[in-house]
Amino acid sequence: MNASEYLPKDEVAIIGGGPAGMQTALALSERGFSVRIYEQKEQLGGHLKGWHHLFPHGVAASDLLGQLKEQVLARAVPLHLGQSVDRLQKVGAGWVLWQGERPLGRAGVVVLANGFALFDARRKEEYGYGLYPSVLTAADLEAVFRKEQPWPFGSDRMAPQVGFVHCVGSRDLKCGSPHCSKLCCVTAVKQAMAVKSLFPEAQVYCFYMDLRMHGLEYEELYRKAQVDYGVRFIRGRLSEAAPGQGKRLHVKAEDTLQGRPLHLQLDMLVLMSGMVPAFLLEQQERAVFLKEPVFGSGFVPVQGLLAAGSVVQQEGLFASGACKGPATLPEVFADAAAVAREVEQYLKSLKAVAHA
Amino acid sequence: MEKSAWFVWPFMLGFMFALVVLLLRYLWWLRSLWRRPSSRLLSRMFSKHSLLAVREIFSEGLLHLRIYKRNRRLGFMHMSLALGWFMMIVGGKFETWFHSGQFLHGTWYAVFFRYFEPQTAGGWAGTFWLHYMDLGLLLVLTGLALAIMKRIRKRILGIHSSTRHTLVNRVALTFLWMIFPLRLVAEALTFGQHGGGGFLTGSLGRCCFSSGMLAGLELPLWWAYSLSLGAFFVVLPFSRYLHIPTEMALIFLRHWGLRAAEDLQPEKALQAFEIHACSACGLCLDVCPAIKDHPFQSAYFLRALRSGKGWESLASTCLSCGACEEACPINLGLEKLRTAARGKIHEKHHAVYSYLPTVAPVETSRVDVLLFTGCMGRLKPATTKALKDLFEEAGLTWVHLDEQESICCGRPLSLAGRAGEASALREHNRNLIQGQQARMLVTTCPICLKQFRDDYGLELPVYHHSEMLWYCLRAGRLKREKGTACFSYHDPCELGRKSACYQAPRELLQSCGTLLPLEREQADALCCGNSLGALSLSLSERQALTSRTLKVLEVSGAQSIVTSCPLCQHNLARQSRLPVRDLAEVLAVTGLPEQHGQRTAALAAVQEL
Ligand SMILES: Cc1cc2nc3c(=O)[nH]c(=O)nc-3n(C[C@H](O)[C@H](O)[C@H](O)COP(=O)(O)OP(=O)(O)OC[C@H]3O[C@@H](n4cnc5c(N)ncnc54)[C@H](O)[C@@H]3O)c2cc1C
Ligand code: SF4
Ligand code: SF4
Repeated sequence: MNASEYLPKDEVAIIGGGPAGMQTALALSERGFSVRIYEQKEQLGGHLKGWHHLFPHGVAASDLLGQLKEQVLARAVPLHLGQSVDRLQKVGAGWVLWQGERPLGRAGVVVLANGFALFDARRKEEYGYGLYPSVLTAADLEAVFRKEQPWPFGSDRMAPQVGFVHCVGSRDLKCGSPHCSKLCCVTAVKQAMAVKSLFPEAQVYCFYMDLRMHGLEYEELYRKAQVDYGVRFIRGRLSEAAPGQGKRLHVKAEDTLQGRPLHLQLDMLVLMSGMVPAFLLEQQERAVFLKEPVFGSGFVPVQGLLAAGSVVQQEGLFASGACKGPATLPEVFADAAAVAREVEQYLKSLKAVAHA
Repeated sequence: MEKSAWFVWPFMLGFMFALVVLLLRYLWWLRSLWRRPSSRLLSRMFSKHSLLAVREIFSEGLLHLRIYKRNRRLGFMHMSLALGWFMMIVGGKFETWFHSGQFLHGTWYAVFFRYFEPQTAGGWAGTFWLHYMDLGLLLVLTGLALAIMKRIRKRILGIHSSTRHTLVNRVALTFLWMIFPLRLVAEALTFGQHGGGGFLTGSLGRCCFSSGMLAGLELPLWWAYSLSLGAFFVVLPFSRYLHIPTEMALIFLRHWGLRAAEDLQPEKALQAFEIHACSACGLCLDVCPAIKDHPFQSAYFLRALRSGKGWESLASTCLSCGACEEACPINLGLEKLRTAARGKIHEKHHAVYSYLPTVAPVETSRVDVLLFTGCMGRLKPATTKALKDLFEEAGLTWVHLDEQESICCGRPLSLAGRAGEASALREHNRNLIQGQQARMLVTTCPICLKQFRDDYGLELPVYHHSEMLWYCLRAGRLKREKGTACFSYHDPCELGRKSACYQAPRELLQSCGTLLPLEREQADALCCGNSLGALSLSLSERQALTSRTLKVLEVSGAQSIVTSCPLCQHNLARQSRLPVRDLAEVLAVTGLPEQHGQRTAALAAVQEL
């Protein structure tokens, strides 16, 4: 192939087949562009695959995922499953996608939709994740709800004592994550209510720094959790978790509103591990690398405002969904539509130049 | 003596002035001893301790062996300056004695001997003295050349950072640099005109200064020499060159048993001598992990103490990592001094620990080990768990003293200079410890270790867990087979430099895997960046230090980083790509794998349902 002759066609490659990738693909396909999805896993769905039900209305995650997949299939979007893109090479005005030494394909425009990663809770060893079986992350608890993982306490416990710790690995400069993951708060509310519905006798505590109920109907959900479900919200950071009586955990915290120390024996402690970058975008001249993130690396940087989907410094490279920072599904879907429009405008402007 | 002797006066006046000021300053610093002379000091004065002091002055004040060991070129520079000058002073005395038959002369006589007696015959012995004095001069001039090079290009002398000097020091430096070249030229001219001289001055005189036209320059040159000497002596007591006599005095005082005070008294007793004995050699600069970020290193801190300005911020930013104290060639008690300064800053703030519960001794059964994990141990439950498993394996009985409630060992407070508060915490813990019957106290935290060992005065022996595990391994109570794992080991400041424990952790790791050599380790190891000592370093500065330390630890081939301090581990783990584990975890092979096993097993059970 002759690189200099290569002009971008109306071809868009989407990296990542999670909610953002699928929705962006749909929006572009509806506008008449040919798109393809590169997904490293063998299945579409991203993190959504692992969730049980969704805030604020409790819609089953599998239903939403089913609908998305159906539409993608209906539009016959070509899927490259099991292909993980780790390098983009600029050739002419377009891109060649690479996995190691293997070229995967080419496209005029690339949209990054490769999402986020979960903060590794073992980095906060004082909470004992990986050490005590009764310490879970929010994602683990979704797996429990989905019956892919057992409850950490015996089936004889009808009134388990459960604690949720907000902001684990979020808003934590020392851990190199200064940002707010913004949906852990409402997820904790959702999960606390679910635990209460499964075990009405349970005592459920949420330890928070401050509650950020920013989305539609989140605040209402929070009120419901307190009033209808009796979930107890305690402002204060957990200082440590240690083995307690039997299989229980001994947890120490301080109620900073009442100014008193708290000691609790818990059957399950759920850490609201935040959202962190899944990869480090390393930009070079005419090449972009997707690398393992290092301490302190950030999400994908975009130009912002009217170009909220355009990756800085790179023509023809866009980003959609949670790879730009923590986002809920409604936000991801709205973003996908906006990014599709930006991509369309970019391709049109190129054509105009070519014609002239 | 027919020649005019007026030119010796600048030297004489300067010299007398320096002598008087020094004497007054030293007497002032020692005023408390004056009032209450300690009998110990007096008895040590007239004993072998004085001889030992003389020996140390010779090896450190003249030969500078400790500097030489760290950095040969720099050591050679210091050695040539000091030894050369010393040779000339001693040689001058003997030479004048030899030629005049008289031992006592005016101080100036030996200094300007060449001017007054340009042609001293005296057979082979006279020639010896001529060459000997030239050798001394040559040594000094070599040292001087190196010193000038050091100012221009420090890399040549194998150093990266050198101290920046204040005005008075630059003035003193200029006079000092002028003295010896002037002496060389003055002597050479005298010999050129009158004949004689050694291999250096004589030859130089014959080849360059024998013309009769230069005769008129002789006296002015000797004037210039005398003036620069005199001027140097006048500024000496107010410049960093005060260190030359003060270091000697300090060595004597130390050998006589004087110890530095706990509180800050920069103009009193041993502390005053320490503060003024720093030669600004700069060895403390290159070893400091924060040298690129902050100019708070010991040389600057001591300078600020001498001037009385700005020492507060310099005292509290430092990490208390101990690297400079390890490097300092005159063994200044830098941490103690810094702690004293911090105490002064916090003088007005007082915390009250009256809320601590009073401990009533309870009858307990006798166990092997009393385990104390400390506040930092709370951050690392996996280490505690691993260690308990190892105790079981080694068949040891134990009580975990601070399992439920912990009270800080006191060292963070003492590092912050809050001695009184620290002792309140110590008192409480001492009661707790004494209420137990155990054969030894074991702690996983090197910070606690140092405090328990140095400041508790406990009857039972105190060990760090690495030492205890090492004993168990040697006694065959723990057995390990060498595996394929490759480790790099981070020496915690508090365990390494502060407690000199380097071997135990290394042998433990070598028993079960391969330990990789590092660019900086043991006494030269870098601080993890988050020591308790750093009271005011910002988070981003600490993180920069941590990533520099990690660069050293992430050597190729390393599969994990191992350390033996909960604080170091906590800090390194946050930023590291490689897993960071405690020695006990490595040895116990507990934690994750087993737990993963449990989870998968449980999962399998669920799926069967
Ligand atoms: C615990 C938890 C609960 C949540 N619950 C809710 C909820 O109830 N309601 C709600 O609205 N939101 C919820 N969210 C948020 C929701 O999960 C995200 O908004 C959504 O998953 C973001 O979608 P995404 O496609 O941007 O990223 P992801 O879901 O992370 O998808 C990224 C995809 O890209 C793929 N990929 C990554 N790198 C590559 C590569 N190099 N090559 C190819 N493919 C690649 C991945 O395999 C993945 O399939 C929750 C989040 C968390 C953490
Ligand atoms: S403190 Fe010690 S190492 Fe530092 S400059 Fe002074 S003498 Fe040298
Ligand atoms: S103790 Fe460490 S951090 Fe402090 S000045 Fe010395 S070398 Fe630097």
